[in-house]
Amino acid sequence: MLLSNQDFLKQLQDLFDARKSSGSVFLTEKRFTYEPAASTTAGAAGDVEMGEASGSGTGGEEGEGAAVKAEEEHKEYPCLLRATDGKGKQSKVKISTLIQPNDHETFSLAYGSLLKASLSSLRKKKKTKRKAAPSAAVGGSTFAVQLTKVVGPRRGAGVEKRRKLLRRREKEVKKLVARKKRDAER
Amino acid sequence: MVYYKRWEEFASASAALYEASPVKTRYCVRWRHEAGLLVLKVTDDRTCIKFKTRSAVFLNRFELLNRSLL
Repeated sequence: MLLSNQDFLKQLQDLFDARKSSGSVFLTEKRFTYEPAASTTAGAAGDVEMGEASGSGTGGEEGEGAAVKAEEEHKEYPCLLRATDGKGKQSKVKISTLIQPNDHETFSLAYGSLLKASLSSLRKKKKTKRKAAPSAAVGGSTFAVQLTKVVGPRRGAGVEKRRKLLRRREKEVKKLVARKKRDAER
Repeated sequence: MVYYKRWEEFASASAALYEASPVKTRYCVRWRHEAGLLVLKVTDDRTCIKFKTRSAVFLNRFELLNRSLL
């Protein structure tokens, strides 16, 4: 349904609330370059077909596309914003709105604050330094993570227990190295 | 579909896509609250780039990206 900007924001808020426990909210934004029917006749027949198939209302200007774009590169386009809850069958909610170029600022402020408020279940990043260089692990600084200490007889009774500890320690070291590598890349 | 690991790369790639074909490029967002998952997709129907996160760190950057694309 095409709504006004305010209605869209309100319904979007409802959509976010309704989908809190399960499901998703899908938002799509694109530049709105649909021209009224007059210019579609200028394109070739082949272009009109392609236009219909694209399904987003931007068809029909393929023929003059290059010329039009060159002239109007600095023109501001309205923005089409769609939201849905992706549910199948009858109960799918689909809303959309068109934002005119002069409304961009005000809308993006309201839209931004709505998003910030609703995307609340993202994990806050913990700043604890839980990692230490694997080589400096044992003993190291106060922030070093403690690896499993391998103790026990190397042969005879109790050797299996020692081997288990050894395996566990190797796994931990591998994890630390991978994590360190991943963080170095980020 | 390419998932980007780093935000900066994703942002510059999406800007490049938009520059190249502003008519066809669209920007899609998927949000799953119970999973705390945010997925961003920028596509011009020929190439598609995505970014996925569970971390709140990206909220501000995501908002900036929204503004710049509008």
